[in-house]
Amino acid sequence: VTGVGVDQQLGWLGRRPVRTQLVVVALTYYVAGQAGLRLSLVGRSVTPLWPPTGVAVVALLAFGRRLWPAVTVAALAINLPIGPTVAAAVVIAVGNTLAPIAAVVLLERVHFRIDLARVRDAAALVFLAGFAAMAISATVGTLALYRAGAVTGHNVAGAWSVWWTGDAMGVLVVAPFLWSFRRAPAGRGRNRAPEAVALSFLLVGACALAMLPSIPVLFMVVPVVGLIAWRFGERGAARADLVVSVIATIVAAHETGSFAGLSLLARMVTLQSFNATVVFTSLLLAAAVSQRADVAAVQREAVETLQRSLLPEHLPHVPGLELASRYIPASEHVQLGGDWYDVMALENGRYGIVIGDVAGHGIIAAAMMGKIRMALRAYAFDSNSCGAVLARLNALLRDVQEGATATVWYGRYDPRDRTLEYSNAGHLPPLLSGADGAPTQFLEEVHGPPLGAIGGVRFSQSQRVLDEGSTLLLYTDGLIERRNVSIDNGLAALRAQMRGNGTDLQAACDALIVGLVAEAAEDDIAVLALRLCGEAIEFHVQRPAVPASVPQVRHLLHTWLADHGITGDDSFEILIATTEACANVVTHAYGLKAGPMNVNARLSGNGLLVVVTDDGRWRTAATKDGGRGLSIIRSVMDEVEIVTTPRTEVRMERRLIGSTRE
Amino acid sequence: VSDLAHVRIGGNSTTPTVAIVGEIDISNVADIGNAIDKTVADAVVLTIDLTATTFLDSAAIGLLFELADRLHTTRRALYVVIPDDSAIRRLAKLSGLDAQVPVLPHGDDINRD
Repeated sequence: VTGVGVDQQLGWLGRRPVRTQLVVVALTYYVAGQAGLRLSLVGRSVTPLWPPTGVAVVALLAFGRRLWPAVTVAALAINLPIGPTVAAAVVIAVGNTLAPIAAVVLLERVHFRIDLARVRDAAALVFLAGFAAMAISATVGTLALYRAGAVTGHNVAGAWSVWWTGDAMGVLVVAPFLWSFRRAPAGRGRNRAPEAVALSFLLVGACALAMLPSIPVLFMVVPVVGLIAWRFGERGAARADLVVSVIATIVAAHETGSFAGLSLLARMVTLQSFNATVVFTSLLLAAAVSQRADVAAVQREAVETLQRSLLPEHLPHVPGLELASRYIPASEHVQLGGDWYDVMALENGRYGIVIGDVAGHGIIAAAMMGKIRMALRAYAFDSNSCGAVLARLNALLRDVQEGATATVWYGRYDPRDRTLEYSNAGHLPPLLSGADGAPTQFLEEVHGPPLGAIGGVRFSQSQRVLDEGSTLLLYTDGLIERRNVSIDNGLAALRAQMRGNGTDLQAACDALIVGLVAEAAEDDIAVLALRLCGEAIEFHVQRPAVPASVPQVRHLLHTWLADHGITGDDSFEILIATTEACANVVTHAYGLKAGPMNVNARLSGNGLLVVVTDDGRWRTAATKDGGRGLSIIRSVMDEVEIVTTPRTEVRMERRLIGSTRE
Repeated sequence: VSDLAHVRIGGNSTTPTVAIVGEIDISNVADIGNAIDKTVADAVVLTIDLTATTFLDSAAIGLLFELADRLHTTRRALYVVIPDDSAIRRLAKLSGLDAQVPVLPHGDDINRD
């Protein structure tokens, strides 16, 4: 029906049968009508604020136009006692039904939303539902009074205008007020109650001033309503509008304050223009504020989403490596830049390591960087060498012809033997430091030009084994390049700065930036540091020494081996040996009560050690298989050692053949 | 027999074939043995088909040795089928199963005379 918030409009009543809805709407309309009559300026017919029209518009919009009989019946019930004739009351009731129906049709046509969050919604409510639609009830009602003789020729225009403004104000004041009680969206977390209370007191104070006899200061409520609309949006504005309109009407009825000494017509005109001004201004202000807030929120969210998607939120855990990184974009306002780093788990237990720099800054470079980063990841998974990854990336950049160039250093690290293969497309040389923290050398090999610069380039690669405890620092030019400083001097400064850093890797990255970069970075800066921390790749599992544990242990170990790139014969024979050792523990280690069985494995370089232990003692040689299990273990593992005191420990080592490791 | 493996019995009662699908180790070897036992009484030639067996430990090898012994003492025959490219082929060799029981790469190769 009306775009947003239909569920919120319906609430409890929306789930009731139509019969119940009809009764509730009719009763509400009637009560609102009686309340409206108490605000009449003269007698019981000239009413400057007619709340039932607001009730009717809200109800028909929420539950559908089929509820019109409720409006007709209630309007008839109100008008019969006060109307000049029964016929006139019937006609008035028909007019009172047609007007809200017309309002709802018009609002639906312009896709009106009850949250009034857009200026167009506020405008539609005022002009279409208020002024245009309510001309119907005013015209029909005035004609009915005229035909019945209750209004004479020369004051038809006056009666019409009072009727029209009364009905319109009913829509403008009451409908937003009712909508303001719909369920709120998820809270903003901040408690705004104190502010709401303070503004309410301010509003009551201004209203009290306005009610003072003989001081015409009704206008003083206007800034307060504006303040409320600004701070609390359409909900606050709608509630303040209702309070102010009722107060103003009461003041007008008592002919005091701003209304003292005016003729009926003058009071009427003043009151209506005052109410219309307050409502229109406050709703428009609220809508404008919320529209601007929406736009700003959408922009902020877009930038944050983009930024999150461009850099890895968390670096993966790489066995044996400590990782730290830092990223500082050059542009202060938008946290986006063209530099990037990446670390990713590849197949066969290896890890891809990337640092790169797309030429340019800001959002364009950032968007390009996002594409290159993902393309590199894709190529990294199905290329055999680092050089091949860069060559394919280069071909891609040439192919898309967006004119982008990027320097990229891509390395592939194998934690098992600490080998690093790498290929460098025009990027600054990574700095390698020894276990003592002293920089030893730059990896100065450059295997090709920046990506995207020249087509058809082949990239070779280099390889080296990293020492335990050594640190590799990858960075982009923002870290070392300064105006009027040569790259060589910048590299020398980096080397000097690196020397003084302590053991905490993240702190070292931060210290580099603090030490080398002036306060306002001229260029994006990305820093990625890797330290070989000697952490072994290990597997631990403990299970009760019962037969059912044996396949469990085997399956866990199988998965762990596969995760570290060990498959094929290596995997199968390690699993056989481990199964046999476990079977021995299950069969021999304990008596009637099963104790624990521990299986540990450690992968380092090309060697795998599996240790199976128990807390019992193997009862010797009563084995009915004649030691077949042990002989299988000895034939598939390279080194087997069995320690039997104080507890049994089977240590089995195998040098991996690596048949499936490329 | 268990989650780890299941047994399919085929052939006729004198030349039954027991195919074992899955893994055999200490945790289910007794159940597998019981399933095979049901076919042993009438069997003249018993074939254990390990084509779909992905894992085998020494307890399973022991079961096969035991089975071979029982059949041989009553002048009956046991054949084991393990394809050449199976991961468990090497285990059959290491454990000496090859030397005591005819191990064939295909079920069709069995010469039933």
